[in-house]
Amino acid sequence: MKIKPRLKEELKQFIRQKQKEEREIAVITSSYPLQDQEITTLRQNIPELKTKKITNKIDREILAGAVIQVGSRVLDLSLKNRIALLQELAYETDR
Amino acid sequence: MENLGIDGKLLVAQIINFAVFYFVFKRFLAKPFSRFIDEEKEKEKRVEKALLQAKKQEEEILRKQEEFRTKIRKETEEILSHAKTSAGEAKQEILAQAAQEAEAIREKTKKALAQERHLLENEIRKKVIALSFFLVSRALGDVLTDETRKKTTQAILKNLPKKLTTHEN
Repeated sequence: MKIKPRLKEELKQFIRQKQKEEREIAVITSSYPLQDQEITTLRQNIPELKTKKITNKIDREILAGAVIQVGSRVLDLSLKNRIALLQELAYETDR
Repeated sequence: MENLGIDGKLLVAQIINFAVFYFVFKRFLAKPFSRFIDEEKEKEKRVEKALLQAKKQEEEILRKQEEFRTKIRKETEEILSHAKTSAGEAKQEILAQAAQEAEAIREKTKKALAQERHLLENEIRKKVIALSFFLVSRALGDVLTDETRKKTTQAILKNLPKKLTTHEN
């Protein structure tokens, strides 16, 4: 399918803009609404978050802890992830 | 003499007759006859000799035949015995080879079974682990109160490692 060059260019710009916006936002998923103190602790320990705008999403599935996403990069500090890691360790150990 | 019924003249004539007969016989018949008898005797002897020789030859042939039969029998027995021995050895060899192959198959099957068992055990173990952790996750999801979640989150944030690594999603 042939796309008009102008449309193609505008689409590219739109995507770049969206990516830029996404890079400026950090999404922290937690199982309950985080307090400012907790967010501050996170900013202190994770330098990448210092300049980012933080959005807090609630997902009870993660059980506890937090999942931090900046753009396409993810830092999983959730209890669910730890259980999954423990499960992997159990697989390895039990062999 | 006449009283006895004997005629003198007839008697003389008979005697003369006999004498003439004897003379003629002796002169003309005795030798050829005797030669004939001798020849016949000779012939008989020859025939007897030939018969004896033929008999001897027959015996010789029979003896040789018997000898040949014995030889054939002996050789046949030797060949049979040799064949039996060879067959016995071949049979032993085949049995040994078959036993070896059966053992190899048994070992291979044993190993395959052990491997299969090991894989199955691993599979079961994985499933048990997965199920256990799934139940734990679900249980925690139901059991954890907001307060507990908060405390846990705070504990996690408090104990953050110095160096944190992110991964591409």
